[in-house]
Amino acid sequence: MNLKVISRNVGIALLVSALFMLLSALISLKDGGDSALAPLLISFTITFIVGIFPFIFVRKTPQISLKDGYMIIFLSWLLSFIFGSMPYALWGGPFTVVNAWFESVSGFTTTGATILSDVESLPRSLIFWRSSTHFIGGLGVVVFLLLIIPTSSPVRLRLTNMELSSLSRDDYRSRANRTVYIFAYVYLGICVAAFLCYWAAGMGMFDAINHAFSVCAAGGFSSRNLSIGAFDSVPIRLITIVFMFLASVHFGLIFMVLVGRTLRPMRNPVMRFYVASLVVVSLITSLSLKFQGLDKSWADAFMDGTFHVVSYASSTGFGISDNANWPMLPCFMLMMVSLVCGCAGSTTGGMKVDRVMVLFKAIHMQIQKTLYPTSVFEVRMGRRVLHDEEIYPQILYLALFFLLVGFSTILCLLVGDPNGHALTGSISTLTNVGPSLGTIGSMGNYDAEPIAMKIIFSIDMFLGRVEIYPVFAVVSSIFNRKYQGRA
Amino acid sequence: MFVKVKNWFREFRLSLRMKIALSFSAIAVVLLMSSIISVLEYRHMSNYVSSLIASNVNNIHRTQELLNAVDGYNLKMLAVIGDEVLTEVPSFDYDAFLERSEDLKETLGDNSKAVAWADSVVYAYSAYMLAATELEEVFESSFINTRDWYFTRLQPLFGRLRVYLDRLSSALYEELEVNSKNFDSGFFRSIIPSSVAVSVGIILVFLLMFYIQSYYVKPIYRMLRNLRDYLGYRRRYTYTFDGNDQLNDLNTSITELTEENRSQRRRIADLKDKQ
Repeated sequence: MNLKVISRNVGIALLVSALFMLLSALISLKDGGDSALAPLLISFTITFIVGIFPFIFVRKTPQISLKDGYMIIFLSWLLSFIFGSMPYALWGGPFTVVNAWFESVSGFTTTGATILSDVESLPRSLIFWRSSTHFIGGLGVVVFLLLIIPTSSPVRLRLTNMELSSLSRDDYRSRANRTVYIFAYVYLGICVAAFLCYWAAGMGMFDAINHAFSVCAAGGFSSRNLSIGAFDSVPIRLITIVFMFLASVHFGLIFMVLVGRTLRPMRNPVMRFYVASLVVVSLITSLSLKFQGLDKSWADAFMDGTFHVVSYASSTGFGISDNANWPMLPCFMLMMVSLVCGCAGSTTGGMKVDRVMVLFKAIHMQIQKTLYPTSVFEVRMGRRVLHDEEIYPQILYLALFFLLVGFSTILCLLVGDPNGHALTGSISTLTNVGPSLGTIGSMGNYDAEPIAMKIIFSIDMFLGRVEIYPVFAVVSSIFNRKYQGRA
Repeated sequence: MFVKVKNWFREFRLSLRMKIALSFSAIAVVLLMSSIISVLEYRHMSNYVSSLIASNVNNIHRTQELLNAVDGYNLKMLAVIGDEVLTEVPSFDYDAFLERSEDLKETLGDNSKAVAWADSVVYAYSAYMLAATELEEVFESSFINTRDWYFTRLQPLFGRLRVYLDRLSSALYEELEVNSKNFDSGFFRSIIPSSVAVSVGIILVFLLMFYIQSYYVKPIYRMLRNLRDYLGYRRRYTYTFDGNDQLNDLNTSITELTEENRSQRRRIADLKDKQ
């Protein structure tokens, strides 16, 4: 393990966080130096020094080993969580040490689960920092690094695939090099477009920036207690639905649509499946809300149903009404879409539509093989034939995902689950959706959960964000000395 | 302009002295930060605890005063009730009592339970005082027994007022208990940021030690070993290492010197051979 290279690259990730801390501190200064100024300045100074320190000695290295790459990713996230929680912990209020950690992890992993019951009581600068963690995490601390890791390095390709896994790029091919830039351009494009649309729709500039940061990262932190519901505006709700959807589509496809000025790339099977499932689930949810008497008018029912389905499916977690009192069917629908979430190669969390489709197709192929044992079958994604080496990792990932949901639920039950959120909380945090059902629903928060559960949920968020394997790879490489030095 | 700045950054190199100075300054700043955090947190906690305890103790003290005032008045009433003739009506400062109750309510703030009991005290007190004003009429009346009036009319109202005052007092003690628990968690929270800062400082010290070892100590040892090999066994000095400061320049100079020395020796040897 090359400590010099690791420290330099982790330092870059910390410098990004430091930059946003400084911006938050400037907002505080603009507001006349609110109570968050000192916490933000102190956090900035410490984070900046730790980030810049390796640059004094370590020069840019052209070659990075794969193991170093994994370690860089792992440490970048972990240290971002730790340093990101400092402004909260220093500010105090509802932020105990565990609450500050939970809020920081939730922000960087773009989960959007919060412990705050009154967001509006926070100083504006701290609200901005909270949204900034979404923005940084959305682009992936690693993407910042990938922009810096030398393009000649072979490890860059593997790390790119890990962060931006892409099964759905049927009509979209590009080198790993370009993928990172495309991801960054589309992400920033969505963010700027969302900000302009919100602003034009009548949202204040500060709220527009915060919600743009949140929506492009599929995060869910809002600057208002009632989330998007605080803006009693149909255009704002529609804009949010559109951008939540865009944030959950493979960014490469969006890029191809914009560059090629044609919707053809969107016609791939994964997109069709995703859009169709969104339409069907929204319809069922809306009809259920209308017929079970929760919404008075058809328009309200459709808005409520569609908004929440897209919000949960994109793993954003914004809300316009409290789903704590919803009937069983729409709640079940929300949990289902939050398990699957959007497409790979976007900022969404969950199992990803791509993998679920591969699973369905593999099951179908297995049934066909049982019926016609001598025939040869293949799994196709559009025009692309998937080989066993591509199918098995996806199915194994799904198995591992459910195993972790089960493990996390059991752990929560072991440490005591007074509010009965072990399963729903585990699903919502592992899929990075954030809000779940009941008191941790769209208008609720995780404050009432026991400390141990908050820690378990924060680990779930981290695992969900990096798609499980990298964390296990690093932990395994640390403890398994047999393989040390082979990478 | 941008290209110039970019080139400047590319060509910019820190001297050995600068590197050492910067790294130690960074550690010093982190330690300074940790001390600032400690001072800020200490001040914050100190103010918080002082104001909290002062407020709690003040509230308990006010409740006790109310209790004493009511007890005293009731004793006076009890003393008068036994007399045949009402010589003097027991006095009580109604306004002061109400004022104290209102002050107490204001300082209770978010403690909804205590505020509710304080409200109950005010209402029970009003009822008690309303009944107490009947004293003169009771003495003047020929058909009302003063003792009966006291035990059936005034005593139950007094009992209720006392119960409410006791409950208010209990609520305030409970608040004090909760606050001291919050203080414990707040204290834990307040030491964490400074602990993080100190830990960061320690990590930086270790990191600096690692950098000094790998960028200076190790190269110097290797340079010495290579020089000894050169001097002792005439092996070529080929050592290179990663670095862009004066130590690297020194290594390059040594390489050049040894190469020059080698060529000189070879020339001398050639000359000797020719002679």
